[in-house]
Amino acid sequence: MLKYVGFVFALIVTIALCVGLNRPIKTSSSTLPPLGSLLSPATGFWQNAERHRKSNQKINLEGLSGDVKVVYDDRLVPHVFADTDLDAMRVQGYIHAQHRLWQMDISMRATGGQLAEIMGPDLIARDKSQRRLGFDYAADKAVKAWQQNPETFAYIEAYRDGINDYIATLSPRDYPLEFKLLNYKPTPWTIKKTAIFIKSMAQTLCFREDDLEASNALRHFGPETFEFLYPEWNPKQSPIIPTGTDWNVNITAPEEEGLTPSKNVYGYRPYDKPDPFLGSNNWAVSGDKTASGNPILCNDPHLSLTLPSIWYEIQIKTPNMNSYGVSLPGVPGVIIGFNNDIAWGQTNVGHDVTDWYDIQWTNESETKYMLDGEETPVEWRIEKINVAGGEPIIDSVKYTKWGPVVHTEGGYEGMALRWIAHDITGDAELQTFIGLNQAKNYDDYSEALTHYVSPAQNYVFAARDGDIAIKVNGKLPIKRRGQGRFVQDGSTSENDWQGFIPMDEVPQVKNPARGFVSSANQHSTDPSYPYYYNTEGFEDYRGRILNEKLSAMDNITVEDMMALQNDTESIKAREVLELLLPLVADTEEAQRESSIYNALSNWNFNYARDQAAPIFFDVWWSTFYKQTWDEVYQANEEYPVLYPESWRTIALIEEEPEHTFFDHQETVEVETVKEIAQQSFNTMIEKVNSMKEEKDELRWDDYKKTKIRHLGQISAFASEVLEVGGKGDALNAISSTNGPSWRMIVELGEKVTAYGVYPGGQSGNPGSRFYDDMVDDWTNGDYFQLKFVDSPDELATDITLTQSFK
Amino acid sequence: MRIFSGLILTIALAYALGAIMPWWSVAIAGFVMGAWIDRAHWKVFLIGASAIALLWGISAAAHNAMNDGILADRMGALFGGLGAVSLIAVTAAVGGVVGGMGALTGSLGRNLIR
Repeated sequence: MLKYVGFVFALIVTIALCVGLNRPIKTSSSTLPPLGSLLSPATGFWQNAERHRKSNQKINLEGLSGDVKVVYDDRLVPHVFADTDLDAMRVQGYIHAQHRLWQMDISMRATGGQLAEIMGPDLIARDKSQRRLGFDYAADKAVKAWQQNPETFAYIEAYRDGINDYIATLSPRDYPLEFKLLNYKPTPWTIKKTAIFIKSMAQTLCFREDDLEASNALRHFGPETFEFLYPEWNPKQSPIIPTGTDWNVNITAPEEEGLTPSKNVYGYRPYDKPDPFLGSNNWAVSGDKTASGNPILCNDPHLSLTLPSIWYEIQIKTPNMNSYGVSLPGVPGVIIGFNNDIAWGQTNVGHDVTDWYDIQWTNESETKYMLDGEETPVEWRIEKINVAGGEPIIDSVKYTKWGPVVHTEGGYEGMALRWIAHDITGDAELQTFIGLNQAKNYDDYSEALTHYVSPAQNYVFAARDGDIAIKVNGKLPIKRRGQGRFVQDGSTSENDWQGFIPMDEVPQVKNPARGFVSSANQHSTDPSYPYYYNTEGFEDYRGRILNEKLSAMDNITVEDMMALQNDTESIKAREVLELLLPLVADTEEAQRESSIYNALSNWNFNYARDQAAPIFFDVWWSTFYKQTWDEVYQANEEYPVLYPESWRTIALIEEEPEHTFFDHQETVEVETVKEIAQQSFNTMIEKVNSMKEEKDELRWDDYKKTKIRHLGQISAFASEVLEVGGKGDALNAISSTNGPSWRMIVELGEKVTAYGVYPGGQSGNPGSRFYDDMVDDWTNGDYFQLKFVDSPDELATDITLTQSFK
Repeated sequence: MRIFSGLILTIALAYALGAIMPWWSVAIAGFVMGAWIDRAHWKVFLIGASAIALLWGISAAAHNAMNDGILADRMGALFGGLGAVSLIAVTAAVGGVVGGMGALTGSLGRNLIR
């Protein structure tokens, strides 16, 4: 009997051990993967520890029209040689999946509202919010539109097939590490997933609006103060398209919209808005300004810094094209790059293409609303959200003439969203990139851009034949003057957008007299441009310093351009200190703390990584700003109210130093800018002295703490704190979380030469030496010469991997 | 000699099953060996445990060496700051316990039909 008991006991323990180690471990804060399969060297994470050796692989892909050879260089950049464009797209899909499959999946899920499916009920609210903002809806519409154009659609299909070819080769042991850690499986790629990914770029780049804040501010302060605090035009602005450019527009100026405060007060949003400090620089200088006589084009798009990186470098050569640059895993083609004849780059336009409308419900169940004097029924869209370890959630979303009624727990009550990304995208949207990849001159570039919709981008261009150009490109709504700054009345069609600016009337310039074109997210034009457009907060400093420096430069070399991309000088710091330092110079505190005062007065306004002055300035300025606008901060405790822009604050210091906004209403004394400057200077000194107690040396990088986070927030896969300078309003716009996600410099000579670097690496696998191998170079401002080759043989000595697709 | 054959048998079987079955097949490998070998239960447990610990430990160490320790550093951080050696030891220990229990069950099962 005893031996039976012993056996059964041992059996139960063994089975319990296996079952226990095969189940995800739930803790209060997170779910850990099954430990047994994760640790097993046959199936688990050890399988993702990549071997470092040269290899030569043969891969069979059914239905290729010819052989495709891919050689990977010493940074694992693939150089694809194919007989047809379709074969190239298919192999690009395979390659993207091979190095970035998990990134593609998680980015798509985050945008499309499909996170609960893998992470469980905690993510339902976030998924719901994404669905209600209409991402799934917009992606469905995009796919339908793409289907109308068989030629472009074939490219996307080939790309999708390549991704699925790769997924089909995977058994669980081969899954990318994050799939194992999050305990789910890759599912086949679809064209809709590509559409969702493209919409994620729209969410990042053209979803920012301040309609709620502006409406509340207008109501709170009244029209007069509103106009005083939030003027739309900064007189010191240096626009993208030079003043004096012929607009080629024949319209009568749109009528003025009066400022009428709304009855409603708008509450906080359920989720944060896209980061305001996402921006970018691009420019091209003509041969007249360069040492070699060749045009040079530069681009550095600033995005959230993540590992894996958003960009993936690639060269694609077919009989139709030879194009090199960065691509987005999930999208076919090269997005920012160059070929033998031209180079192109992008920055964000930032016009307001996201408007909110108040809905007047006409029945209690809120299924009908007032539109042009008639009760109009909403249309319903059913969103099904799958939930790991639970039943699917069905969410019914109301759609109005304007768009979805977003109202989620804690935000957007009674409002509908009108957003450009919901519009029919144009059937040949991706033709933009295919066209740019193949373009030979200005006309090809212009033609390619006509297919582009959103997010609107400033497309900079340079060609070997000497042309340079820039276009504020995308579908830009025509609005009445002032329209769309505030939440609008949704009961009348009159408040709709008035159409779209024709593509040949968007702001643009070719070969301007000044010898360069540039953009840095500032105003597209000066106020003379006939169409109205707005955004609360065009960039005010990078554009100015860029144009200032480019105008002053001559005999430009590639090295000069590298230095400019890494330039950390701030006009804002210069302007502020010129005004504020004299106000504190004679104070007792400034005399006593002469090291701090002198550091500021000797500072060259460069956010260099090893300096302390940037810390003093930043603490001082942010304290000064808060004390000046204490009224706005107080209002924000109740509901969101717009904060005045920095430039407006600086103008106030300069022009009206005794304005009542500088006075703290609750104190007996009457404060002017002088008192506020001194008070905030003293607060800064206190803060700095307490910092000094903890640290021997104060350094800007150590204070700023720039870090490249992991896309899945796994901190072990993120970077360390980087020893890097920079600041959002300097050209090298590195904040703690954002920065240049790709730096590219292309010289268009007889043979095109190019340099680039991005803060990451080609492989998305944390177990690869190519996961973050470029981070140090990026941090130090170094570049790699890009290996733009005609044949695989040119790479002979640098090859890390060869793949032959048959 | 039997002990050595038991060790080799378990490792070979676990390795083969690992290619086609989930990770817990190491318990089956231990069980088969345990049912076959005629030794004291505690010795059989130790043979099974050592076999799988060796298999998992050595293959983890090999993966780690060919990877220059890149992944182990990151995974170690994820597991609360373990170094590569500790991570390999944890791997070996978890595999060892499962393999050993499989072997013990096999050994006790053999006892039933004697």
